Amino acid sequence: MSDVSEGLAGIWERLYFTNNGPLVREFDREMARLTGSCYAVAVVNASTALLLTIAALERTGEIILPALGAGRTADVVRWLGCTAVFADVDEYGGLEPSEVRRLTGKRTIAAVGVHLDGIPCDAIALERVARELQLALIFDARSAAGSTIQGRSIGTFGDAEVFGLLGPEGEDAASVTTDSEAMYDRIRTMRSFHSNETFADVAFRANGKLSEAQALLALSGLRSTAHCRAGDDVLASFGSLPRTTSLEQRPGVFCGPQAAIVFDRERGDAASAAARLRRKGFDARSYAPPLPGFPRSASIASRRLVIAAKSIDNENRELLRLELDAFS
Amino acid sequence: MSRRLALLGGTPLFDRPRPIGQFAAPPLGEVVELLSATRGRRFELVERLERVLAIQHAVDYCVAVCSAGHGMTLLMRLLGGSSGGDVIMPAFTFRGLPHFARAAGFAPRFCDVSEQTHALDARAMESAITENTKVVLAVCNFNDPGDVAALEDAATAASTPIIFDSVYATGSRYRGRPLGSNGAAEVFSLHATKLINGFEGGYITTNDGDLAARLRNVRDRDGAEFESRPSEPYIDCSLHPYHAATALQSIAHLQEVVDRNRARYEAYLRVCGSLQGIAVLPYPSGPDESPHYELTVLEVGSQWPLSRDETLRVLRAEGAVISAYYSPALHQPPYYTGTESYVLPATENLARRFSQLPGGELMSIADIEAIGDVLATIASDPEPVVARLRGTKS
Repeated sequence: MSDVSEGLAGIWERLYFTNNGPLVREFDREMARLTGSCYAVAVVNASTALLLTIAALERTGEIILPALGAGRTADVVRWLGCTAVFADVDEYGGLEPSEVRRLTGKRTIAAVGVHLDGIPCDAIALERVARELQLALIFDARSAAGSTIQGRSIGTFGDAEVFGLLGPEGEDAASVTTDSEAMYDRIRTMRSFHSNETFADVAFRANGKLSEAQALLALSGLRSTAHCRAGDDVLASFGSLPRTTSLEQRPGVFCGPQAAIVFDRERGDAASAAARLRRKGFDARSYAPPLPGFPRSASIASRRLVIAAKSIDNENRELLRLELDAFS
Repeated sequence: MSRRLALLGGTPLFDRPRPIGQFAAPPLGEVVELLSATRGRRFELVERLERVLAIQHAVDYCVAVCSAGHGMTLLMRLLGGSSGGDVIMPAFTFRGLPHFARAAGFAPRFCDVSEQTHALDARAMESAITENTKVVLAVCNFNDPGDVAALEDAATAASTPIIFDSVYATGSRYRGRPLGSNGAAEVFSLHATKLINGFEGGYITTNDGDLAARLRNVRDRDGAEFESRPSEPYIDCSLHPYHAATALQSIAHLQEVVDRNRARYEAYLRVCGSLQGIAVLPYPSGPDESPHYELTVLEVGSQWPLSRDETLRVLRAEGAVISAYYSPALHQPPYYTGTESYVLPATENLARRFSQLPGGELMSIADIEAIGDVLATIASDPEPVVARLRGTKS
């Protein structure tokens, strides 16, 4: 916490609490550097970041979302007067590209892929399909900072990607990364009312500013996980557990340090296993069942156990192994 | 004391900019201590803040949110529904309000204000309400909350919910009660430029238990509920715990801040009091009032040798980061680019007259006296300034 304490002292010394301050600008630079994107815009939270990003497309109509893990995105889509059209996921839990093709109609304007708990979806195939069908493509990249697909960073796919950043207090900040100058100008204009931050004509503006405290915590989160064991390594250490299958990941995918650890169980009730693990002190959960009619999403929701990487350490790792073994 | 104005080539008064915001920082040690004491139980900070604010505003419920703007947007959506329509608001107010309505899916519709209170005029509002009106967004200003009862009556008669933006009216009262319980709800700010510093943030006060429950339900929804597709609209409005901790400690030191604000305000009254043609806009007075004195607004009259905008140029050249107060009005360019031809005479008159003055913790009494010297210099020898500003020979 010492870097946070020092950072707070700096904020108090400068009396610069918000309104695109020095820490927010540093956070923007760090997100652009980490992801290799041209631009990054810090936003107060991921929900608002999604709202500004989808609004920045400047079109209304149908938006295709995965049936698993896109509840908050669907709420934002509806808020903006668009229609959420759900698609089933692929075997790994990401938006299925062929479903996007099947569901695209005259009113379809965009698809939103979700890197569920930081595990990349098939962004390369989704980009190909979106380009072919002339759809806008956005990604919900919560917890995916530092994740890659075939060596390419999450943050560089589609028209824009929306990150939720884990810091000491949980999801402390959000950031939108994009290579599109037009999207960048619209989103940073919509984020505040400051006349000196007007870069585009936009339909509306909001107070979506990230504070200096939030930027400080997000930067701390990025630094503290930068040298951590990545999620992949933890998964590998559990790979031989009897009757518990560690997620067999999409080929070429690397999960970044903020990604959750997930276990796709062969059978059983992931919700009750998650509840038991929570009682043992782990930050564990499962997914709520999707709407009817999406069999692969329903299957994954019933089987997948999600554990926050930061709640696993050398002390409790053996306990986790025993618990998983007992419940598989 | 006459001085060479920066506009005329003199050295600017201020070597670093003097803004208008409050920027009051509570002792950092207290904030850190509070954060340490609540580690693992951070939700308590927001709950504690809500309890404290509910008592201050004498209301049953307070819901803290990530910004006053998000609070207003969410309220409009909950009260006005998801199928669009109009939101009536005053034209003489903060430029962000039309955006909050648009973000909630509504079209802003501008209404004239009272020349006395600067708040929404109840009769103008009444005649502006149509069947397409979904919400009235009234504004309580720092100098006067307006005719709240008449506004509430007119909104009730039209079966239209009314909410109040009371961001600048913290500490004001209406008919002896602290602001907070009027209309369906009132909204206040915790932004660092406002009286209570919570970095960014805001809060909603109401006596309507159902509305408070709906607001909390939307704000507090987490991932586990997302797949159940609740019918309420959702946007993340949660207040960050660091912001709540800072706001709580700001409240603990509020009276000290108000005392310093009052000293600054009285210094402005002193330096402007002897000058013909300008005046400081007064705060509400009376035994029940507890104004915050955060803002100082200068009225520039016809007796003053410069126009309001010319006066602004002189003060900006000295390092004051100030703007015209609520000007241009919201129905005027560049803010309004639509096709409706509004005629709002009171708003248009007020929008020509007022300027912000620098204030808050970054302004000392000596700074204010120096601004007084600038104003006195204009009053005593206006010709060179007029000549420079209007391009004529003195």
